[in-house]
Amino acid sequence: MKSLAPLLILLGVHTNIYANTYPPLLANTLDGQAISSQGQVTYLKFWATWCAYCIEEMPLLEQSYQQANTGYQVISVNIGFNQNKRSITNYLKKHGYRFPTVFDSDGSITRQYAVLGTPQHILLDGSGNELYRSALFTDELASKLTELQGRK
Amino acid sequence: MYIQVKLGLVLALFMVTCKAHATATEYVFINIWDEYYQSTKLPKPLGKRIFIQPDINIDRPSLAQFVTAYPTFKGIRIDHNNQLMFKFQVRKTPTRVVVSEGRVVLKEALISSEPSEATSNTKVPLQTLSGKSLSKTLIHQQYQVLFFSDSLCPFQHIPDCEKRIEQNNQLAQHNKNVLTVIKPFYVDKQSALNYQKRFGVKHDIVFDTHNQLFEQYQITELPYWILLDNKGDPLYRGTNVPR
Repeated sequence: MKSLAPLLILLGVHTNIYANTYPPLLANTLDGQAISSQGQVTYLKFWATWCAYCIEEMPLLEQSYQQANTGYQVISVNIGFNQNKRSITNYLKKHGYRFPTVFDSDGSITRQYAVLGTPQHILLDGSGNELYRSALFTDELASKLTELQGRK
Repeated sequence: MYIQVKLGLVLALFMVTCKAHATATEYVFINIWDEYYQSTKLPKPLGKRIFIQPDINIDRPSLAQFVTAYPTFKGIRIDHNNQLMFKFQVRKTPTRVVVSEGRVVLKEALISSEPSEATSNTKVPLQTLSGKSLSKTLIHQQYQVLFFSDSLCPFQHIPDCEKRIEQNNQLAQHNKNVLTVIKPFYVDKQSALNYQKRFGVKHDIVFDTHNQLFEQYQITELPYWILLDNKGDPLYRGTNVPR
């Protein structure tokens, strides 16, 4: 038992570091590309067009996508509730947003990541561990993204 | 003989219908944030009616506030973790689902009224809740601390807002140059007045009708402080109360 102590301590530390771990996101984007969060640091953004805060933050999401370098990938997830694919596609096109977007038609992705509000920002490591989560685009999130971009 | 059989069948059908109605439950899924602008036209109930709010962007105080404004929806429940939404595959509101003896017998989209008139495009001048006119220059001249807040507090996207509002009130007791700026999303000036009363705010508050101050200072997080120097340039910005 004594020899197991360091391992147990390590496991304890591990569970304290990561609030949650999620299975990888495997989905198709609106333009039909297969996308996965497995093995990559991923910045997930959950949103809807009826969400004023989400719309206000969109330029920041585009900027985060453009500046990602190889530090992380961006996956925007439209939560699908009171939304339709065509209007989402038109909206993104109209504003020239280029980040990959997944339409969560049945709500399963939103459920997988326990999202109960929009906007919602989640940063995952390559193993699906939640590194950070916030409702709004916080200074802390901006700082973490900047660090991953290699600009810090 | 034929008439007796027919009567019997009609009676049986009537009894089944009565029984189904008596045991049926009608779930009416609405989104309270939409109801404020576009109310649902409620049809005749087809069972025991239960109003359901999807578990998205919702908390109990917001629900209670809604019921006060719209008593028709008294008893509305939050669909915790959207269990019913998933069970009945509801992805749009308003929708009703009628369940009888464990089976869905009807699922239909409900009709909403025409949206209430869009907000006027008329430019509302910036002024405090007490009626004092403000401008960018006046703000720089008169205030040293800008506190950006949301009158929906307490709410999930404004973490620790009650604590921070209290910290700001304490700051304002010792520093007369504090201005609270209220986010205009989903609320009106009355909501800012309620905020003032609810949190006992004694310093100046401005309802940022056109979101211009939030945009000018690039505020994306709430609640948030900005400390200005005497030229109006930010000396500090962040989520901790400035010292």
